[in-house]
Amino acid sequence: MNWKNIILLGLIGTTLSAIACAIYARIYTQAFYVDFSKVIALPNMIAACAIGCFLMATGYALAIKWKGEKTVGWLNVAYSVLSFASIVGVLGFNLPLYVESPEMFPGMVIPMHFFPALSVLSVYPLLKSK
Amino acid sequence: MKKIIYPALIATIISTSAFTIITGNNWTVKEDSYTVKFNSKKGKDFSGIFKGLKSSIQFDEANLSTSKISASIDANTVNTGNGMRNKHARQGLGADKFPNIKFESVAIVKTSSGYEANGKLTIKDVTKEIKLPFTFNKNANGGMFVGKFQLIPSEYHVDKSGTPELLEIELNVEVTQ
Repeated sequence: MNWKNIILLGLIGTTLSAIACAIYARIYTQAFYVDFSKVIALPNMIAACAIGCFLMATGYALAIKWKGEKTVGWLNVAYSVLSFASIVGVLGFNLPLYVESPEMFPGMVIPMHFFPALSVLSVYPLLKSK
Repeated sequence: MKKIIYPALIATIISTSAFTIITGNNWTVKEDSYTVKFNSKKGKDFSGIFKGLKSSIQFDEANLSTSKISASIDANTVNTGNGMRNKHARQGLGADKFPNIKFESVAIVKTSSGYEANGKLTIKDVTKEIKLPFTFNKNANGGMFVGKFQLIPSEYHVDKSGTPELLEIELNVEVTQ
């Protein structure tokens, strides 16, 4: 996997996960009448997705260079575990006191934590085959 | 005829003036222009707010003996910014069984820094006497009450694990007449 594909993986992963986050946030906001836009705006979501996806893509490049293709499976497991572990931060997160219904916040953000890993794990086999 | 007119006139003057005095001292809290905030001062570190303030404020700086403050807040509205902690706090306050936290002044006295409302604070099933120091700044449209005091939650049977040992309560209440 060359650097061009790594960047492409990061870009496609970011785009897909950011779109998923934006759609999910809109559905959640309308379904439950909550507004967390002052805490997580779209640019924040895009930035978070970009950081996650590019880190994962770089991880693939480094792991393949270090030990070859056989590390990819373990890396995928690690990405899933890390995504799962990251929800602890959401549960302990303190919203500003002016934000109402903070108990609805994890329901919106926890699924989003899996979107970058989902998109990168989905796109990687397509780019690898190229 | 004069016998009826004079008493009627005196009664009218008295009732009108009494009405004027009462309305002059009565203050209404401006909707959404108040904060009832608490900060942990000892123990687990967090802060939060309450909503649902209902109050009856009769306050006259020139006549403190007739001044009286009664207020209650809805314990179910506690917001610490974290959903899990809110649930924990509601359980600690026994909000299902004791939905209101109440304060009723017994006497208001002038102090060097402002005023002090001596009264009874009821949280859960415990009523204790407290001293609530506050200031009042009058302005063209009404005024602002600002107060701060500390309380020990365990004295009010708020002793669920994780409850701070000492809380500071901050009140900023904007009022109109």
